[in-house]
Amino acid sequence: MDCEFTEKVSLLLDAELPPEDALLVTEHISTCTACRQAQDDFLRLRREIKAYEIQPQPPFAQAGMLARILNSEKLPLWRRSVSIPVPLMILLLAIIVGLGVWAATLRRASGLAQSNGAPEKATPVKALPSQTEVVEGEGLDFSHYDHGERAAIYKVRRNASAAHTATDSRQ
Amino acid sequence: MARDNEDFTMIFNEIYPGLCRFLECLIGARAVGTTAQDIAQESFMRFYRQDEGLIPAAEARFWLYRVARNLALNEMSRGRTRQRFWGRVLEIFHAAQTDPAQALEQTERREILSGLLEALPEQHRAALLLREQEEMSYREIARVLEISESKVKVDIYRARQSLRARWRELERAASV
Repeated sequence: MDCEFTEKVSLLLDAELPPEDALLVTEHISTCTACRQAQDDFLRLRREIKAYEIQPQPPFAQAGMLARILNSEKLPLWRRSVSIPVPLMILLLAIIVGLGVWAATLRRASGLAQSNGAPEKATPVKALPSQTEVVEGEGLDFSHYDHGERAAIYKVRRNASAAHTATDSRQ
Repeated sequence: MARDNEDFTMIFNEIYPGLCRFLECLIGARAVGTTAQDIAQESFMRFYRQDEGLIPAAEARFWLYRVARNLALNEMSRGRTRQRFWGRVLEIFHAAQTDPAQALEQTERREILSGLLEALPEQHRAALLLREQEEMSYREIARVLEISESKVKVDIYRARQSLRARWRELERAASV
């Protein structure tokens, strides 16, 4: 029959109890037969396990093994691995993902600021603002979203249609 | 910080015998001799090839035990617990040196303990062996086995209780 203190007896033998608890358990063991028996059994097991001996290797075998290891080539740097605890790896991954998201957000924000900000001088659309307004009957002006190619098409079409209208009116 | 061969030799000589004993108890009686030594050698080989200041000297012991235990688990799962040629040679070599009566008694004790340990779940067995043979603290065992300290505490206690019960059974059976 085990006492509820038996687990603490195990901790006491391993010196894993705080001093005040160790004192309490030691006092308890002196009065509890079950715990005293457990202590004796645990100590006997300890002796048996410690006394377990392996067949000794001949000295030449151990020396030979050491020599084989020392003569082996070390791994090149790119084939080495470092063991990282899982929480640390998760933290590193989170930091990398966070940085990626942050960079993407910054890039998007700067893109929006550019598109809403001052007109781009280099694009043909902005160079001729009056000609890139919405053309009736020809849909929306997407020039803000491209590099001016579409606006150039509109311009060509409009010039063509204007020329056609002028010819018609002359006739 | 590059570690030279002298340092490595010192670590090898200090840790190798204990590591072999731990592995032999972990793997079980069927795998005496070379298998435990093979795994120990492979662990040291990895340590040597890996090591270039990446593993601090103070960590070497835990690193080696952790790697050796993982290799032993692989070995056990593959069922490769066969005796090999050198194991046989070593047994013969050893038997020729010792007193037969003493050797028999030692073998018997080893077999009994090995059988008892083998009946334990692997994690309980590993925790108990690291505590009793290597005298590691619960914190150190937790690092080697990559589990929490509270789990180490419970595993060791259960291993002890289980061994104790089996030991008593054996004693009762022997006395009948």
